[in-house]
Amino acid sequence: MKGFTHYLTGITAATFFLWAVRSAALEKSLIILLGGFAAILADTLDFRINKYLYRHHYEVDMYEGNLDPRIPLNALLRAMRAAWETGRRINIKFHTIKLSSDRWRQYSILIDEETRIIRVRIGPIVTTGQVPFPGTEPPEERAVAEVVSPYPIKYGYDKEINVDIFSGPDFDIYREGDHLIFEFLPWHRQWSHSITMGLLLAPLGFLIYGFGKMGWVAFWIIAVGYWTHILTDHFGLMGSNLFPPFTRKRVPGFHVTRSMSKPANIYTNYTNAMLILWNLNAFSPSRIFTLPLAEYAYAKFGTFASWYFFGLVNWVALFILPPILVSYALLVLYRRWYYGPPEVVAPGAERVEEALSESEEYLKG
Amino acid sequence: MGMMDLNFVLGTYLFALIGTVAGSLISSLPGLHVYNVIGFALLFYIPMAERFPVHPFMMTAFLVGMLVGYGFVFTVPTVYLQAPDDTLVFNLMPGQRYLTEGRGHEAVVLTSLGALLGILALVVLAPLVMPYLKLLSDLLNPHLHWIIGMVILYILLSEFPKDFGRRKKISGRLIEGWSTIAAGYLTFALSSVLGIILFTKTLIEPSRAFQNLMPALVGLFAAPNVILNLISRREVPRQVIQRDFDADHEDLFNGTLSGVLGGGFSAFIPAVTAGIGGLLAGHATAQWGDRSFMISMGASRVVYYVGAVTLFFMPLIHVRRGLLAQNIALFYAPETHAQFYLFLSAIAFSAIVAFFMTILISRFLARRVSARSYRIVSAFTFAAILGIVFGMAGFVGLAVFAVAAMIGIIPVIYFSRRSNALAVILVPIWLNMSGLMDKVVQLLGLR
Repeated sequence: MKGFTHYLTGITAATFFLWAVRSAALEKSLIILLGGFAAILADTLDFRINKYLYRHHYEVDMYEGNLDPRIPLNALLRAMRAAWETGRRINIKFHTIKLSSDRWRQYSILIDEETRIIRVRIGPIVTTGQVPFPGTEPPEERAVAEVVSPYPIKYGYDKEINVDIFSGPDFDIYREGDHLIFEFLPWHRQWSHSITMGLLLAPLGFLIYGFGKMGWVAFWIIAVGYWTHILTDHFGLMGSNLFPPFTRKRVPGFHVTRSMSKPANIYTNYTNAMLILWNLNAFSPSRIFTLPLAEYAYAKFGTFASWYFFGLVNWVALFILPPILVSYALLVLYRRWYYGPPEVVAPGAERVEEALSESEEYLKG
Repeated sequence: MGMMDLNFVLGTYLFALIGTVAGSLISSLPGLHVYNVIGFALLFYIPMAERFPVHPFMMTAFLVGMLVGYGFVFTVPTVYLQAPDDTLVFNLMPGQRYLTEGRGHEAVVLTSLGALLGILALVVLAPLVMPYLKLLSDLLNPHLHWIIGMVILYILLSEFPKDFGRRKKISGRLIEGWSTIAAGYLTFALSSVLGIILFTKTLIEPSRAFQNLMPALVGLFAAPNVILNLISRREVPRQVIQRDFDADHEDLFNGTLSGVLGGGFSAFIPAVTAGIGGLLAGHATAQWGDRSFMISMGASRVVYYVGAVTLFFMPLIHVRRGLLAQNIALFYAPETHAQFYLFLSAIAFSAIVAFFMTILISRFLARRVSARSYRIVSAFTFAAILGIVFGMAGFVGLAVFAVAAMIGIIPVIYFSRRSNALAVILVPIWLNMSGLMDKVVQLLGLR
């Protein structure tokens, strides 16, 4: 999901804590913000710190004066050979070529798993919005270098990767059996995107609010806020490494949606906003509205918990689900009418698109 | 309202038209905020309101017309002269790009189209959401301090290093990568302190108190790019005045959706302005692409400005958000549904007029901006900004402007987010609402 969606989901999680909402309303507490802070922290750790700590064995750093597709190609081949011969993980980083504040030279790397062809192409000059300037490509004979990989490859991503704006991509290459495996942005969604990390950070709550009731509330807000990030990311494709140091690899996501999906982000944020409103009302010292099912439950069971739970069901059934379902049905119908049946996209291409779009979101701001 | 006859309605439209044309012309000047002009106009009008030969409702139509004109036309100096205000500052990046590609007019049209669609959405949605707004206002009021805090925290946490860093050592790469974030945080801290000083000290003389923030806002947002354009040797290519634009219906829908959400949020929540509201809504709706972004900024801006006044005109709600609503409340109190609907129709009429005014002014400037050295254009722009600041706020205003401009230039040089400069408004209001202002003021030695 997008950074803002994670953030708002964490805030929403915090509003499920009665004492957090009460102290916000009565004592002007800011404890709810801890949920948002924790929820965005996983990506903050990756994109602000972790990516700098990761070791790159090879770095490709061209500039406009030495544009040569053989430079990245040879570096990639050397990295592949090192991974093959040593059996270790070898990381290669492709730096972007910045020409001015808004101009970049694009180049692309294509790795074809079936034919083993590896091709580097020097592309056009592009803007920060990745809009190319036609006619700025070098002549074809100096733009392309191609080789057949001497090793069998399990690439998983069948898409040409563009290296153009801000910080370029990197991948780990390692040998598994008689294949070389490529892993994208290997520093992303590892230890930082784990259940373990949420638990480790949660005691910050005690540091801020002491060991009393509010300390425990803050503890759980941080833990749950952090976990919402892991959970929402898991609805995508790439997944996360859930229990390091006990696990070492990312567990693939549920493949329900993609992090850059417009409907997924809009609907998640709509749901978040509506849940926040419900919780603010339900947990406020003086409630502003009620719902029929909540009243019915209260009359029958006589507890606040029953009022809250049945009221929430009523709220979701009346104000959250219908707008989402109706608008989604309209969207699907519109897309079918306007674009025709959806194209089938290879899962690998989606996965790399998810990883790159997530990193570009943070870079573009 | 007994006087709701045809003459009254036509008179309202006439005053809205005059206001729109006046607001449009004023908004062509870089650095001049319509609130400043409205402030001066009201300084003369309010003492003689009862003797003034025009009905107060028509006066409000005139003022709202000015606001709508500003909401649309200020895109023109933002794109051509690179002098935005706080609400259009994010539009500068794509606007700048379009200008250097000879497509400045296209940038203006896309932003104005967003504004027109934003007004359309506002006029249609305002009566529909009206019954729920009072409830929403009552629900959110005790929580505004953390909602504004949420916006501030997101600004601080969501900026990421833009550069990987080429140095061999990890520490070197961290320093290189973090330079943009550090510059952003420095901008945020300095803008916050400036805002706290301006909110707690009366630097500008009391008779011009409503201009207190103006020099800081102009310094932070309008001046930095103009100064850089003066120093650098960049030239602007000949501008193409196109008749066709390649924004498709999805760009229009997505841009309008995110703009209306962002503008609505900023109109409703104090301290949050349209730029930051639009930015948040863009992130919330997974917005992508320059065209959609410019459309959303146009929509967000007008929904923010006009939406705030609309809240005031809503029967039973009368929320006073924004300077115009607060000023109108000094001489007029809207009461009926008829007034509300007449108000909505007047802003729709003003929006159509303002849209065409924007196109005309943009065409006029597009033909001239590349005909001269851009440094000369920038020199004139800078002189105009200085003159306006001096005229509005005197020498102290110029001093505040200079300090703000020095802060505002930090993100421009280091490519960090300009949203950090919005701390000048966000932080003092948030501190006030959280009850922390006194402590911070003491800590800073301001009291």
